[in-house]
Amino acid sequence: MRLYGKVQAHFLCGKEIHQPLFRRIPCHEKEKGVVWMQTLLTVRSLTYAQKGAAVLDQAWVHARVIRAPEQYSRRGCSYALLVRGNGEKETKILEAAGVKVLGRYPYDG
Amino acid sequence: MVYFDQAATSYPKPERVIRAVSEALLQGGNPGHGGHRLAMEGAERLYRARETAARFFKAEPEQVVFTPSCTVALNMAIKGIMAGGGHLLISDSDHNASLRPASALVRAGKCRAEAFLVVEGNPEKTLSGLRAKIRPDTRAVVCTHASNVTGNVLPVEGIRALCKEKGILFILDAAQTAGLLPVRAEMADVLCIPGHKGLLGPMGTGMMIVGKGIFLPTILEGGTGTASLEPGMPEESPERFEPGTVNFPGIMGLAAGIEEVEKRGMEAVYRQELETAALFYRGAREIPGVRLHSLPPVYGKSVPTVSFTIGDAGSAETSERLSQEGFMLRGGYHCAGLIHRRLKTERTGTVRFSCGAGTGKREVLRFLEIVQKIAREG
Repeated sequence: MRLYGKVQAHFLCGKEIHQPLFRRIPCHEKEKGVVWMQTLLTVRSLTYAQKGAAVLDQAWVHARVIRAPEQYSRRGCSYALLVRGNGEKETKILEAAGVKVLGRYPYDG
Repeated sequence: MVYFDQAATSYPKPERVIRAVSEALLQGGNPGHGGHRLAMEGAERLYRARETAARFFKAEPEQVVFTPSCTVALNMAIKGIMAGGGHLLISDSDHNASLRPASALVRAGKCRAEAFLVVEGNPEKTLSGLRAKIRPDTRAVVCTHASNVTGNVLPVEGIRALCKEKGILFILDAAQTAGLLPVRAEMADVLCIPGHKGLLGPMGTGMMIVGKGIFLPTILEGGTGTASLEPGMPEESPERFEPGTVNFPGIMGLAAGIEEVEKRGMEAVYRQELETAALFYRGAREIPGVRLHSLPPVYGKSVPTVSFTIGDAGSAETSERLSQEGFMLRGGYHCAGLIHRRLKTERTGTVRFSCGAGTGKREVLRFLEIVQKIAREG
C-alpha cells in the first residue's frame, strides 16, 4: 500500500507509522499505468529547502528535498523540493512562510 | 577533584552529549555537500540541530549559523558590521573575544572604538554613561551579557532599547548566560553564543544568530555545497557564514546539550547554581585576607561566578595551590584585560569561582576550609 501522508498511513495500516521527513515517493502507479505529475520547486538554499519541507509537512503536504538537476541550477549545485502535482498550492504555502520559490519545473525524475 | 571552572567550559558533559558526538562520528557523507543518501541524511540531522537551536533562542532556523566558537561568531559580527567604518562602543567588562577584533580593526584604520564603563550594581549609571558616549557616527555597540570575571549581568535590555532609539546595531556576547538566563534572538541584532558552556555542548562549537534584515559582509569564504559556479559566497544565511565542512559531531553534541538544558529546566538550574555561588560568597567574606571582587550574587543580576584574591598573592599562584588541593579554578586575567583596570587587580589578576552541575553545599564548604587554610598560611 502506498503511503504518502502521516494521517493516511495511520488509517490505512491501523497503526501509527513514523515516517522520515524525506522519503522517496514510490512509483507503483507508474508500473500500473498511472502516472503522477511531480514538480520541482527550486529555492535559494539547502536550509530553505529543508525549512520548506518542514512547512509543507505541517500542512500535510509531502515534499522531498533533493539535489536539483544541473539544468535547474543556474548558479551550480542547488537543492529543491519535489512535490506531487503542479506545485501551485505548495508554492503559496511556502511563500506565505517566507520560503521564496525561485522556479517551478515539471519533473520526470 | 572538584571543578569550579564552569565559566571556562562546562564539565562534566551530559551522557547524551557524549553519545550524540560518538554517534555522529559514524555518519558518512558531508552534510549539505552532496545529494547521495548519506549526505542527505546528514543534512537532515544538521537541520534538526538548527531547528533545536532556533526553538531554544526563539529564532528561525535560517538565522542560526553554526560557528567553531563564540569568538569566531563575534569576529564575524564585529568585523562584518564595522566593515564600512564608523565608531564602535564596547563595554569595559568585555572579553578579548570582542576587545581584540575591535582592536585589530582600529589598528588597521578601519574604524574607531571606545570603551564604556559598566557600573556594577547601578544599571542606570551604566546606561547614562553609554548614552553620553554615542556619537553621530556610532555604528554599533557590542557587550557581554555577563562578566566572565565578576559575574555581573549587564543591563542589556536597556542597552538594546538605547541602540534602537539611536538607530545603532547591537551585538550581544551571551557567552556567560546562554543556557542559564533567558537569551532570545530579539535581544540583539547579532547574538553570539558558545556551545560548550551553559549549553553543555562540546568545545569547538558556537553560534551566531543573525537578526532578520541584517546583512553582514563575510570574513571567511569557502565552499558551501551550493551555488558552486558563483565566485562569491551565497547571500542567504546560514550558508553564507558556514564555509567549508561544519563540525558535524560537535553540532550534534550541541543540539543534545540544548535538549539536556531544556530537560533539566534552566530556571531551576540557575537558582541552584546561584545559591551555591552565594554560599561561597557569604563564607569567603568572613575569611580574613580574602578579598572579593564581585558583588554578592543576586537573582537576575548575577551569574554564578565570583572573583577573589587571597592576601597579596598572585592569582596564578593561588590557583596552583588550590589545584594541588583538588579544586580546579582559573587564576589570572580571564582574557578580559579592561575590567582589571576597573577592579584594580592588574597586578594580581583574580581567582575565579564558577560553579555548575555536580557541585553544591558540601563541595563549597570543603573549598572554604581550603581557602581559609591558604589565607592563614599567607
